[in-house]
Amino acid sequence: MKEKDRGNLGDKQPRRLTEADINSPEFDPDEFAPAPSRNATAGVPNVKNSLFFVILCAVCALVLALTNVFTVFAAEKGQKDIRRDAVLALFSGCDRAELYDTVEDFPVYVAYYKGKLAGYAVYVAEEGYIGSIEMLVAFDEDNKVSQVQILSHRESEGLGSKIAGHKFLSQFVGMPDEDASIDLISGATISSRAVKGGVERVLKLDLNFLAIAEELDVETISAAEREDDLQKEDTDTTVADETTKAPSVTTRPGDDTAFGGDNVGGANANTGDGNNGSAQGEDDTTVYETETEDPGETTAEETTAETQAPSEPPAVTNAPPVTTQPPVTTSPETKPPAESTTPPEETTGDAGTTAPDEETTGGGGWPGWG
Amino acid sequence: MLLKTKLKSSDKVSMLQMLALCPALAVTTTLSRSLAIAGALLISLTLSALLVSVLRKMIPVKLRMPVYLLIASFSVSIVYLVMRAIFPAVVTALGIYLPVLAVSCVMIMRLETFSALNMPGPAALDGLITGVEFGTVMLVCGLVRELFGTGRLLADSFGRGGWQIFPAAPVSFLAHPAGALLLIAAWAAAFQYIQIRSEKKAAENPEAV
Repeated sequence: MKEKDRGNLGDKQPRRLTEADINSPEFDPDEFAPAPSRNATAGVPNVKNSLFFVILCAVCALVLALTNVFTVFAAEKGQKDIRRDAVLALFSGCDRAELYDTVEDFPVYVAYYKGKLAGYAVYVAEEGYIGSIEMLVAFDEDNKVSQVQILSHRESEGLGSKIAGHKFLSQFVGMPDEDASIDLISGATISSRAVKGGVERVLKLDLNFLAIAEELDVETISAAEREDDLQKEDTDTTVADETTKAPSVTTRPGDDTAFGGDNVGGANANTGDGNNGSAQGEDDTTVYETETEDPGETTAEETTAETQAPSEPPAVTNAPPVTTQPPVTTSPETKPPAESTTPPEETTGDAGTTAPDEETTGGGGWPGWG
Repeated sequence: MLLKTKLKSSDKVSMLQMLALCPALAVTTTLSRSLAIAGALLISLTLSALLVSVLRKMIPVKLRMPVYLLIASFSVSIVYLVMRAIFPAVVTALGIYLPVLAVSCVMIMRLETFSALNMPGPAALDGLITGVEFGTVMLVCGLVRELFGTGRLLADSFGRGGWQIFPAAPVSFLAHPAGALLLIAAWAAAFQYIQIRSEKKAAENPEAV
Protein backbone atom coordinates (compact mmCIF):
# COMPACT_ATOMS: atom_id res chain seq x y z
CA MET A 1 0.00 0.00 0.00
CA LYS A 2 2.63 2.44 1.08
CA GLU A 3 4.99 1.32 -1.63
CA LYS A 4 2.31 1.94 -4.17
CA ASP A 5 1.82 5.47 -2.90
CA ARG A 6 5.45 6.22 -3.08
CA GLY A 7 5.61 4.96 -6.60
CA ASN A 8 3.03 7.43 -7.70
CA LEU A 9 4.04 10.66 -6.07
CA GLY A 10 2.79 12.78 -8.89
CA ASP A 11 -0.70 13.08 -7.53
CA LYS A 12 -0.29 12.44 -3.79
CA GLN A 13 1.96 14.37 -1.47
CA PRO A 14 3.12 12.67 1.79
CA ARG A 15 1.49 13.87 4.98
CA ARG A 16 3.35 16.33 7.13
CA LEU A 17 5.15 14.72 10.04
CA THR A 18 3.54 15.63 13.35
CA GLU A 19 4.45 14.87 16.94
CA ALA A 20 1.54 12.47 17.20
CA ASP A 21 2.94 10.41 14.36
CA ILE A 22 6.29 9.98 16.03
CA ASN A 23 4.73 8.97 19.32
CA SER A 24 2.28 6.53 17.81
CA PRO A 25 3.23 2.84 18.13
CA GLU A 26 2.94 2.08 14.47
CA PHE A 27 5.22 4.89 13.33
CA ASP A 28 6.92 4.05 10.11
CA PRO A 29 9.62 6.54 9.12
CA ASP A 30 9.45 5.38 5.54
CA GLU A 31 6.05 6.89 5.20
CA PHE A 32 7.48 10.33 5.73
CA ALA A 33 10.70 9.86 3.86
CA PRO A 34 11.46 12.55 1.37
CA ALA A 35 9.96 11.94 -1.98
CA PRO A 36 12.11 9.86 -4.25
CA SER A 37 13.78 11.76 -7.00
CA ARG A 38 11.31 12.89 -9.59
CA ASN A 39 13.42 11.60 -12.40
CA ALA A 40 12.45 8.11 -11.52
CA THR A 41 8.80 8.80 -12.12
CA ALA A 42 8.90 11.68 -14.55
CA GLY A 43 10.42 9.51 -17.20
CA VAL A 44 7.24 8.95 -19.09
CA PRO A 45 6.28 12.53 -19.97
CA ASN A 46 9.93 13.39 -20.77
CA VAL A 47 9.92 10.98 -23.66
CA LYS A 48 7.19 13.01 -25.26
CA ASN A 49 9.09 16.25 -24.75
CA SER A 50 12.28 14.81 -26.08
CA LEU A 51 10.48 13.37 -29.02
CA PHE A 52 9.03 16.78 -29.83
CA PHE A 53 12.44 18.37 -29.58
CA VAL A 54 14.11 15.72 -31.67
CA ILE A 55 11.49 16.00 -34.38
CA LEU A 56 11.74 19.78 -34.37
CA CYS A 57 15.52 19.55 -34.63
CA ALA A 58 15.25 17.12 -37.50
CA VAL A 59 12.80 19.30 -39.39
CA CYS A 60 14.96 22.38 -38.86
CA ALA A 61 18.07 20.53 -39.97
CA LEU A 62 16.31 19.24 -43.04
CA VAL A 63 15.08 22.66 -44.09
CA LEU A 64 18.48 24.20 -43.44
CA ALA A 65 20.21 21.49 -45.40
CA LEU A 66 17.90 22.08 -48.33
CA THR A 67 18.44 25.82 -48.17
CA ASN A 68 22.15 25.24 -48.05
CA VAL A 69 22.04 23.00 -51.08
CA PHE A 70 20.22 25.64 -53.04
CA THR A 71 22.38 28.55 -51.97
CA VAL A 72 25.84 27.09 -51.58
CA PHE A 73 26.71 27.43 -55.22
CA ALA A 74 25.85 31.10 -55.34
CA ALA A 75 27.62 31.67 -52.06
CA GLU A 76 30.83 30.08 -53.26
CA LYS A 77 30.70 32.08 -56.42
CA GLY A 78 30.21 35.22 -54.36
CA GLN A 79 33.20 34.41 -52.19
CA LYS A 80 35.30 33.91 -55.26
CA ASP A 81 34.14 37.22 -56.66
CA ILE A 82 35.13 38.96 -53.46
CA ARG A 83 38.54 37.38 -53.60
CA ARG A 84 38.93 38.27 -57.23
CA ASP A 85 38.04 41.89 -56.52
CA ALA A 86 40.60 41.91 -53.76
CA VAL A 87 43.22 40.58 -56.14
CA LEU A 88 42.36 43.29 -58.63
CA ALA A 89 42.81 45.90 -55.97
CA LEU A 90 46.33 44.65 -55.33
CA PHE A 91 47.46 45.36 -58.88
CA SER A 92 46.79 48.92 -59.81
CA GLY A 93 44.97 49.42 -63.05
CA CYS A 94 44.40 45.77 -63.77
CA ASP A 95 41.09 45.00 -65.36
CA ARG A 96 40.76 41.26 -64.94
CA ALA A 97 41.68 38.72 -62.32
CA GLU A 98 41.24 35.00 -62.58
CA LEU A 99 41.90 31.88 -60.64
CA TYR A 100 44.94 30.42 -62.31
CA ASP A 101 45.44 27.19 -60.46
CA THR A 102 45.49 25.64 -57.06
CA VAL A 103 49.04 24.86 -56.06
CA GLU A 104 49.27 22.61 -53.01
CA ASP A 105 45.84 23.77 -51.89
CA PHE A 106 46.73 27.43 -52.28
CA PRO A 107 44.54 29.18 -54.84
CA VAL A 108 46.71 31.24 -57.13
CA TYR A 109 45.12 34.21 -58.87
CA VAL A 110 46.49 36.05 -61.84
CA ALA A 111 45.82 39.67 -62.72
CA TYR A 112 45.78 41.03 -66.23
CA TYR A 113 46.41 44.50 -67.46
CA LYS A 114 44.90 44.90 -70.91
CA GLY A 115 45.27 41.22 -71.57
CA LYS A 116 48.86 41.08 -70.38
CA LEU A 117 49.83 39.24 -67.26
CA ALA A 118 50.70 41.77 -64.58
CA GLY A 119 51.27 39.60 -61.57
CA TYR A 120 49.87 36.89 -59.42
CA ALA A 121 48.57 36.60 -55.92
CA VAL A 122 48.24 33.63 -53.63
CA TYR A 123 45.45 33.20 -51.16
CA VAL A 124 46.39 31.68 -47.84
CA ALA A 125 44.52 31.21 -44.59
CA GLU A 126 46.56 30.83 -41.44
CA GLU A 127 45.33 30.06 -37.97
CA GLY A 128 45.67 33.19 -35.86
CA TYR A 129 44.83 33.91 -32.27
CA ILE A 130 41.08 33.83 -32.89
CA GLY A 131 40.01 31.98 -35.96
CA SER A 132 41.83 32.04 -39.22
CA ILE A 133 43.47 35.00 -40.85
CA GLU A 134 42.80 35.12 -44.56
CA MET A 135 45.30 36.93 -46.65
CA LEU A 136 46.47 37.52 -50.16
CA VAL A 137 50.14 37.66 -51.03
CA ALA A 138 50.73 39.50 -54.28
CA PHE A 139 53.84 39.00 -56.38
CA ASP A 140 55.18 41.16 -59.15
CA GLU A 141 57.04 40.09 -62.25
CA ASP A 142 60.29 39.51 -60.31
CA ASN A 143 58.56 36.96 -58.09
CA LYS A 144 58.94 39.31 -55.18
CA VAL A 145 56.17 40.12 -52.79
CA SER A 146 54.64 43.37 -53.92
CA GLN A 147 51.98 43.51 -51.26
CA VAL A 148 50.36 41.50 -48.54
CA GLN A 149 46.76 42.10 -47.76
CA ILE A 150 44.66 40.76 -44.92
CA LEU A 151 41.25 39.87 -46.30
CA SER A 152 39.61 39.01 -43.03
CA HIS A 153 40.59 38.30 -39.49
CA ARG A 154 39.02 38.18 -36.07
CA GLU A 155 42.04 39.09 -33.98
CA SER A 156 41.48 41.17 -30.90
CA GLU A 157 40.84 44.81 -31.57
CA GLY A 158 43.75 47.10 -30.88
CA LEU A 159 46.31 44.32 -30.51
CA GLY A 160 45.99 41.55 -33.04
CA SER A 161 44.16 43.80 -35.45
CA LYS A 162 47.41 45.67 -36.03
CA ILE A 163 48.39 42.92 -38.43
CA ALA A 164 46.14 44.55 -40.99
CA GLY A 165 48.02 47.81 -40.68
CA HIS A 166 50.33 49.21 -43.28
CA LYS A 167 53.28 49.39 -40.93
CA PHE A 168 53.37 45.68 -40.31
CA LEU A 169 52.42 44.46 -43.77
CA SER A 170 54.85 46.69 -45.64
CA GLN A 171 57.69 44.72 -44.07
CA PHE A 172 56.91 41.83 -46.35
CA VAL A 173 57.35 43.79 -49.56
CA GLY A 174 60.24 42.47 -51.64
CA MET A 175 60.39 39.47 -49.40
CA PRO A 176 62.11 36.50 -51.02
CA ASP A 177 65.68 37.58 -51.56
CA GLU A 178 66.13 40.39 -49.10
CA ASP A 179 66.50 38.29 -46.05
CA ALA A 180 64.91 41.02 -44.07
CA SER A 181 63.72 40.08 -40.64
CA ILE A 182 60.12 40.74 -39.89
CA ASP A 183 59.39 42.65 -36.71
CA LEU A 184 56.51 41.02 -34.94
CA ILE A 185 54.04 43.22 -33.13
CA SER A 186 54.42 43.21 -29.40
CA GLY A 187 51.19 42.16 -27.77
CA ALA A 188 50.16 40.42 -30.94
CA THR A 189 52.86 37.81 -31.28
CA ILE A 190 50.60 34.97 -32.27
CA SER A 191 48.70 37.03 -34.81
CA SER A 192 51.76 38.51 -36.45
CA ARG A 193 53.57 35.20 -36.40
CA ALA A 194 50.61 33.68 -38.19
CA VAL A 195 50.82 36.26 -40.96
CA LYS A 196 54.54 35.73 -41.24
CA GLY A 197 54.03 31.98 -41.35
CA GLY A 198 51.41 32.34 -44.06
CA VAL A 199 53.69 34.45 -46.22
CA GLU A 200 56.54 32.02 -45.69
CA ARG A 201 54.37 29.11 -46.70
CA VAL A 202 53.46 30.93 -49.88
CA LEU A 203 57.09 31.72 -50.56
CA LYS A 204 57.93 28.03 -50.24
CA LEU A 205 55.68 27.32 -53.20
CA ASP A 206 58.32 29.02 -55.29
CA LEU A 207 56.01 30.11 -58.06
CA ASN A 208 57.45 31.61 -61.16
CA PHE A 209 55.91 34.53 -62.99
CA LEU A 210 57.32 33.64 -66.37
CA ALA A 211 56.32 30.03 -66.04
CA ILE A 212 52.77 31.07 -65.30
CA ALA A 213 52.78 33.43 -68.26
CA GLU A 214 54.11 30.68 -70.48
CA GLU A 215 51.55 28.21 -69.34
CA LEU A 216 48.75 30.69 -69.84
CA ASP A 217 50.32 31.73 -73.13
CA VAL A 218 49.98 35.45 -72.51
CA GLU A 219 52.25 38.43 -72.77
CA THR A 220 53.57 39.99 -69.62
CA ILE A 221 53.85 43.52 -68.39
CA SER A 222 56.02 44.78 -65.58
CA ALA A 223 54.80 47.00 -62.82
CA ALA A 224 56.86 49.92 -64.06
CA GLU A 225 55.50 49.61 -67.58
CA ARG A 226 52.02 49.37 -66.23
CA GLU A 227 52.56 52.50 -64.23
CA ASP A 228 53.83 54.41 -67.21
CA ASP A 229 50.90 53.30 -69.24
CA LEU A 230 48.47 54.27 -66.53
CA GLN A 231 49.90 57.74 -66.22
CA LYS A 232 49.85 58.21 -69.95
CA GLU A 233 46.27 57.11 -69.97
CA ASP A 234 45.38 59.54 -67.24
CA THR A 235 46.73 62.43 -69.23
CA ASP A 236 44.83 61.24 -72.26
CA THR A 237 41.59 60.96 -70.41
CA THR A 238 38.84 62.96 -71.97
CA VAL A 239 35.34 63.89 -71.07
CA ALA A 240 34.18 60.90 -73.02
CA ASP A 241 35.47 58.75 -70.21
CA GLU A 242 32.94 60.23 -67.90
CA THR A 243 30.58 57.41 -68.64
CA THR A 244 32.98 54.81 -67.33
CA LYS A 245 33.10 56.40 -63.92
CA ALA A 246 30.79 53.83 -62.52
CA PRO A 247 31.82 52.73 -59.06
CA SER A 248 33.34 49.48 -60.18
CA VAL A 249 36.62 48.14 -59.06
CA THR A 250 37.84 47.13 -62.43
CA THR A 251 38.01 50.30 -64.44
CA ARG A 252 39.40 52.59 -61.83
CA PRO A 253 43.15 52.67 -62.00
CA GLY A 254 43.99 55.51 -59.69
CA ASP A 255 41.59 54.58 -57.01
CA ASP A 256 42.91 51.10 -56.66
CA THR A 257 46.32 52.53 -56.28
CA ALA A 258 45.33 54.72 -53.44
CA PHE A 259 43.55 51.87 -51.82
CA GLY A 260 46.29 49.36 -52.25
CA GLY A 261 49.12 51.59 -51.31
CA ASP A 262 48.13 54.10 -48.75
CA ASN A 263 45.32 52.76 -46.72
CA VAL A 264 46.15 49.19 -46.09
CA GLY A 265 44.73 49.30 -42.62
CA GLY A 266 41.38 50.49 -43.74
CA ALA A 267 41.30 48.13 -46.63
CA ASN A 268 40.61 45.15 -44.52
CA ALA A 269 37.39 43.69 -45.78
CA ASN A 270 36.36 42.49 -42.41
CA THR A 271 36.93 45.44 -40.19
CA GLY A 272 37.97 48.45 -42.09
CA ASP A 273 36.07 51.38 -43.15
CA GLY A 274 36.34 53.98 -40.48
CA ASN A 275 39.67 55.55 -41.11
CA ASN A 276 39.80 54.96 -44.79
CA GLY A 277 37.60 57.82 -45.76
CA SER A 278 39.58 60.26 -43.72
CA ALA A 279 42.84 59.14 -45.18
CA GLN A 280 41.54 59.26 -48.70
CA GLY A 281 39.85 62.55 -48.27
CA GLU A 282 43.17 64.30 -48.45
CA ASP A 283 43.95 62.74 -51.77
CA ASP A 284 40.68 63.64 -53.32
CA THR A 285 40.82 67.36 -53.05
CA THR A 286 41.48 68.06 -56.69
CA VAL A 287 38.33 66.37 -57.69
CA TYR A 288 36.30 68.32 -55.29
CA GLU A 289 37.35 71.60 -56.68
CA THR A 290 36.15 70.53 -60.06
CA GLU A 291 32.89 69.32 -58.74
CA THR A 292 32.02 72.62 -57.17
CA GLU A 293 32.76 74.40 -60.40
CA ASP A 294 30.94 72.24 -62.81
CA PRO A 295 29.37 69.11 -61.45
CA GLY A 296 29.65 66.04 -63.59
CA GLU A 297 31.19 67.75 -66.61
CA THR A 298 34.89 68.25 -66.43
CA THR A 299 35.93 65.88 -63.73
CA ALA A 300 38.05 63.71 -65.89
CA GLU A 301 40.01 66.55 -67.42
CA GLU A 302 40.76 68.13 -64.14
CA THR A 303 42.27 65.04 -62.70
CA THR A 304 45.09 65.30 -65.11
CA ALA A 305 46.37 68.41 -63.43
CA GLU A 306 48.03 67.82 -60.11
CA THR A 307 47.84 64.62 -58.23
CA GLN A 308 47.54 66.07 -54.81
CA ALA A 309 46.43 69.58 -54.19
CA PRO A 310 47.52 70.56 -50.71
CA SER A 311 44.67 72.86 -49.83
CA GLU A 312 40.96 72.59 -50.20
CA PRO A 313 38.26 75.26 -50.22
CA PRO A 314 35.80 75.13 -47.35
CA ALA A 315 32.96 75.33 -49.84
CA VAL A 316 33.48 71.76 -50.92
CA THR A 317 31.24 70.48 -48.22
CA ASN A 318 28.34 71.63 -50.34
CA ALA A 319 29.55 69.75 -53.34
CA PRO A 320 26.79 67.69 -54.84
CA PRO A 321 27.53 63.98 -54.74
CA VAL A 322 27.92 63.55 -58.44
CA THR A 323 31.12 61.72 -59.05
CA THR A 324 31.23 58.68 -56.93
CA GLN A 325 34.81 57.65 -57.53
CA PRO A 326 37.24 60.50 -57.37
CA PRO A 327 40.28 59.44 -59.35
CA VAL A 328 43.57 59.65 -57.61
CA THR A 329 46.75 59.43 -59.53
CA THR A 330 49.24 58.70 -56.84
CA SER A 331 51.95 56.26 -57.62
CA PRO A 332 51.50 52.94 -55.97
CA GLU A 333 53.47 51.82 -53.00
CA THR A 334 53.92 48.46 -54.55
CA LYS A 335 56.76 49.37 -56.83
CA PRO A 336 57.63 53.01 -56.31
CA PRO A 337 58.90 54.48 -59.55
CA ALA A 338 61.35 57.35 -59.65
CA GLU A 339 58.76 60.07 -60.11
CA SER A 340 56.70 59.02 -57.12
CA THR A 341 54.54 61.90 -56.10
CA THR A 342 53.99 60.62 -52.64
CA PRO A 343 57.05 61.03 -50.51
CA PRO A 344 57.46 58.25 -47.99
CA GLU A 345 57.29 60.69 -45.09
CA GLU A 346 53.81 61.58 -46.11
CA THR A 347 52.50 58.08 -45.99
CA THR A 348 53.91 57.40 -42.60
CA GLY A 349 52.76 60.74 -41.34
CA ASP A 350 49.38 59.92 -42.73
CA ALA A 351 49.18 56.76 -40.74
CA GLY A 352 50.24 58.63 -37.67
CA THR A 353 47.95 61.61 -37.83
CA THR A 354 44.76 60.02 -38.93
CA ALA A 355 44.44 58.09 -35.75
CA PRO A 356 46.71 55.13 -36.47
CA ASP A 357 45.00 52.88 -38.90
CA GLU A 358 45.97 49.71 -37.12
CA GLU A 359 43.98 50.82 -34.15
CA THR A 360 41.01 52.33 -35.83
CA THR A 361 39.88 49.58 -38.08
CA GLY A 362 36.22 50.15 -37.58
CA GLY A 363 33.70 47.67 -36.48
CA GLY A 364 35.43 44.35 -36.26
CA GLY A 365 36.07 43.85 -32.66
CA TRP A 366 34.41 44.18 -29.31
CA PRO A 367 32.95 40.76 -29.35
CA GLY A 368 31.93 41.02 -25.74
CA TRP A 369 28.95 43.28 -26.17
CA GLY A 370 26.11 40.88 -25.76
CA MET B 1 -4.80 48.24 -33.21
CA LEU B 2 -1.82 46.27 -32.11
CA LEU B 3 0.43 48.71 -33.82
CA LYS B 4 -1.15 51.58 -32.00
CA THR B 5 -0.93 50.03 -28.58
CA LYS B 6 2.54 48.88 -29.33
CA LEU B 7 3.70 52.32 -30.26
CA LYS B 8 2.12 53.78 -27.20
CA SER B 9 3.31 51.14 -24.82
CA SER B 10 6.61 51.35 -23.11
CA ASP B 11 7.97 48.27 -24.71
CA LYS B 12 9.97 49.91 -27.33
CA VAL B 13 12.52 47.24 -27.11
CA SER B 14 15.65 48.56 -28.63
CA MET B 15 15.11 52.12 -27.54
CA LEU B 16 14.56 51.89 -23.85
CA GLN B 17 15.69 48.48 -22.87
CA MET B 18 18.88 48.70 -24.86
CA LEU B 19 18.38 45.15 -25.93
CA ALA B 20 20.19 43.68 -28.85
CA LEU B 21 22.38 46.67 -29.25
CA CYS B 22 25.53 44.61 -29.31
CA PRO B 23 25.64 44.67 -33.08
CA ALA B 24 25.00 48.39 -32.92
CA LEU B 25 28.47 49.06 -31.65
CA ALA B 26 30.29 46.80 -34.00
CA VAL B 27 28.31 46.69 -37.17
CA THR B 28 26.78 50.11 -37.66
CA THR B 29 29.92 51.75 -38.95
CA THR B 30 28.30 52.07 -42.35
CA LEU B 31 24.80 52.49 -43.61
CA SER B 32 24.87 49.41 -45.78
CA ARG B 33 25.96 47.16 -42.96
CA SER B 34 23.30 48.61 -40.69
CA LEU B 35 20.73 47.99 -43.35
CA ALA B 36 21.88 44.41 -43.70
CA ILE B 37 21.78 43.65 -39.99
CA ALA B 38 18.43 45.38 -39.60
CA GLY B 39 16.96 43.47 -42.51
CA ALA B 40 18.33 40.20 -41.20
CA LEU B 41 16.83 40.74 -37.78
CA LEU B 42 13.52 41.87 -39.20
CA ILE B 43 13.11 38.78 -41.32
CA SER B 44 14.42 36.27 -38.84
CA LEU B 45 12.47 37.73 -35.94
CA THR B 46 9.25 37.67 -37.90
CA LEU B 47 9.88 34.15 -39.07
CA SER B 48 10.68 32.81 -35.63
CA ALA B 49 7.78 34.67 -34.04
CA LEU B 50 5.49 33.04 -36.54
CA LEU B 51 6.96 29.60 -35.92
CA VAL B 52 6.81 29.88 -32.15
CA SER B 53 3.27 31.14 -32.34
CA VAL B 54 2.19 28.27 -34.56
CA LEU B 55 3.87 25.73 -32.31
CA ARG B 56 2.95 27.43 -29.05
CA LYS B 57 0.49 24.76 -27.91
CA MET B 58 2.89 21.94 -28.66
CA ILE B 59 5.98 23.40 -27.07
CA PRO B 60 6.53 21.76 -23.68
CA VAL B 61 6.81 24.33 -20.93
CA LYS B 62 9.97 22.81 -19.54
CA LEU B 63 11.69 22.80 -22.88
CA ARG B 64 10.53 26.17 -24.08
CA MET B 65 13.88 27.94 -23.89
CA PRO B 66 15.78 25.36 -25.94
CA VAL B 67 12.92 25.32 -28.42
CA TYR B 68 12.97 29.12 -28.75
CA LEU B 69 16.69 29.04 -29.24
CA LEU B 70 16.38 26.32 -31.82
CA ILE B 71 13.71 28.19 -33.73
CA ALA B 72 15.60 31.47 -33.50
CA SER B 73 18.82 29.95 -34.73
CA PHE B 74 16.94 28.12 -37.43
CA SER B 75 15.44 31.28 -38.85
CA VAL B 76 18.67 33.22 -38.50
CA SER B 77 20.49 30.44 -40.32
CA ILE B 78 17.97 30.53 -43.13
CA VAL B 79 18.41 34.27 -43.46
CA TYR B 80 22.17 33.86 -43.25
CA LEU B 81 22.27 31.23 -45.97
CA VAL B 82 20.09 33.25 -48.29
CA MET B 83 21.97 36.47 -47.67
CA ARG B 84 25.28 34.74 -48.16
CA ALA B 85 24.14 33.76 -51.62
CA ILE B 86 22.73 37.14 -52.56
CA PHE B 87 25.03 39.65 -50.83
CA PRO B 88 28.28 37.81 -50.15
CA ALA B 89 30.27 40.97 -49.55
CA VAL B 90 27.88 42.26 -46.93
CA VAL B 91 27.81 38.95 -45.10
CA THR B 92 31.58 38.82 -45.08
CA ALA B 93 31.68 42.31 -43.67
CA LEU B 94 29.16 41.50 -40.96
CA GLY B 95 31.20 38.52 -39.87
CA ILE B 96 30.02 36.90 -36.69
CA TYR B 97 27.37 39.51 -35.94
CA LEU B 98 24.87 38.06 -38.35
CA PRO B 99 24.80 34.48 -37.02
CA VAL B 100 24.97 35.76 -33.46
CA LEU B 101 21.54 37.35 -33.88
CA ALA B 102 20.17 33.92 -33.01
CA VAL B 103 20.98 34.49 -29.38
CA SER B 104 20.21 38.18 -29.35
CA CYS B 105 18.18 39.17 -26.33
CA VAL B 106 15.52 40.94 -28.32
CA MET B 107 14.72 37.78 -30.20
CA ILE B 108 14.29 35.56 -27.16
CA MET B 109 12.46 38.30 -25.33
CA ARG B 110 9.83 38.76 -28.03
CA LEU B 111 9.41 35.02 -28.45
CA GLU B 112 8.99 34.44 -24.74
CA THR B 113 6.76 37.38 -23.90
CA PHE B 114 4.64 37.75 -26.98
CA SER B 115 4.80 35.07 -29.64
CA ALA B 116 4.33 32.20 -27.20
CA LEU B 117 1.06 33.69 -25.98
CA ASN B 118 -0.53 35.01 -29.14
CA MET B 119 -2.03 33.95 -32.41
CA PRO B 120 0.30 33.69 -35.42
CA GLY B 121 -0.98 36.89 -37.02
CA PRO B 122 -0.33 39.26 -34.14
CA ALA B 123 2.90 37.44 -33.34
CA ALA B 124 4.28 37.98 -36.81
CA LEU B 125 3.17 41.58 -36.73
CA ASP B 126 4.89 42.02 -33.41
CA GLY B 127 8.06 40.58 -34.85
CA LEU B 128 7.77 42.92 -37.78
CA ILE B 129 7.28 45.97 -35.60
CA THR B 130 10.11 45.06 -33.29
CA GLY B 131 12.31 44.49 -36.29
CA VAL B 132 11.43 47.88 -37.73
CA GLU B 133 12.13 49.50 -34.39
CA PHE B 134 15.49 47.83 -34.11
CA GLY B 135 16.19 48.68 -37.72
CA THR B 136 15.44 52.34 -37.16
CA VAL B 137 18.01 52.52 -34.40
CA MET B 138 20.53 50.68 -36.53
CA LEU B 139 19.92 52.81 -39.60
CA VAL B 140 20.16 56.10 -37.77
CA CYS B 141 23.34 54.87 -36.13
CA GLY B 142 24.76 53.72 -39.44
CA LEU B 143 23.81 56.90 -41.23
CA VAL B 144 25.31 59.23 -38.66
CA ARG B 145 28.40 57.13 -38.14
CA GLU B 146 29.20 56.66 -41.78
CA LEU B 147 28.42 60.22 -42.78
CA PHE B 148 30.28 61.91 -39.97
CA GLY B 149 32.75 59.16 -39.20
CA THR B 150 34.06 58.68 -42.71
CA GLY B 151 32.58 61.48 -44.80
CA ARG B 152 31.18 59.00 -47.27
CA LEU B 153 27.83 57.39 -47.75
CA LEU B 154 27.20 53.87 -49.00
CA ALA B 155 30.84 53.03 -49.52
CA ASP B 156 31.78 49.44 -50.19
CA SER B 157 33.54 47.29 -47.66
CA PHE B 158 36.92 48.59 -48.73
CA GLY B 159 35.84 52.16 -47.99
CA ARG B 160 35.67 53.06 -51.66
CA GLY B 161 32.80 54.14 -53.83
CA GLY B 162 29.59 55.65 -52.63
CA TRP B 163 29.14 59.37 -52.35
CA GLN B 164 31.80 61.50 -50.86
CA ILE B 165 29.75 63.99 -48.90
CA PHE B 166 32.51 65.53 -46.88
CA PRO B 167 36.07 65.77 -48.16
CA ALA B 168 37.35 64.29 -44.92
CA ALA B 169 35.78 62.66 -41.92
CA PRO B 170 34.27 65.44 -39.80
CA VAL B 171 34.03 63.43 -36.58
CA SER B 172 36.16 60.43 -37.26
CA PHE B 173 35.84 58.94 -33.80
CA LEU B 174 32.20 58.14 -34.53
CA ALA B 175 33.47 55.27 -36.62
CA HIS B 176 34.86 53.63 -33.49
CA PRO B 177 32.77 51.52 -31.14
CA ALA B 178 32.90 54.29 -28.55
CA GLY B 179 31.25 56.61 -31.04
CA ALA B 180 28.33 54.23 -31.31
CA LEU B 181 28.06 54.08 -27.56
CA LEU B 182 27.76 57.84 -27.32
CA LEU B 183 25.35 57.99 -30.20
CA ILE B 184 23.07 55.41 -28.64
CA ALA B 185 23.24 57.19 -25.33
CA ALA B 186 22.15 60.41 -26.98
CA TRP B 187 19.39 58.58 -28.78
CA ALA B 188 18.16 56.96 -25.58
CA ALA B 189 18.26 60.26 -23.74
CA ALA B 190 16.16 61.94 -26.38
CA PHE B 191 13.72 59.09 -26.34
CA GLN B 192 13.50 59.06 -22.59
CA TYR B 193 12.83 62.79 -22.61
CA ILE B 194 9.96 62.41 -25.04
CA GLN B 195 8.48 59.60 -23.04
CA ILE B 196 8.69 61.36 -19.72
CA ARG B 197 7.12 64.42 -21.22
CA SER B 198 4.23 62.47 -22.65
CA GLU B 199 3.74 60.69 -19.35
CA LYS B 200 3.57 63.99 -17.57
CA LYS B 201 1.03 65.20 -20.03
CA ALA B 202 -1.00 62.08 -19.50
CA ALA B 203 -0.88 62.57 -15.76
CA GLU B 204 -2.14 66.11 -16.08
CA ASN B 205 -5.18 65.29 -18.13
CA PRO B 206 -5.92 61.57 -17.96
CA GLU B 207 -9.09 61.88 -20.08
CA ALA B 208 -7.17 62.77 -23.18
CA VAL B 209 -5.30 59.52 -23.34
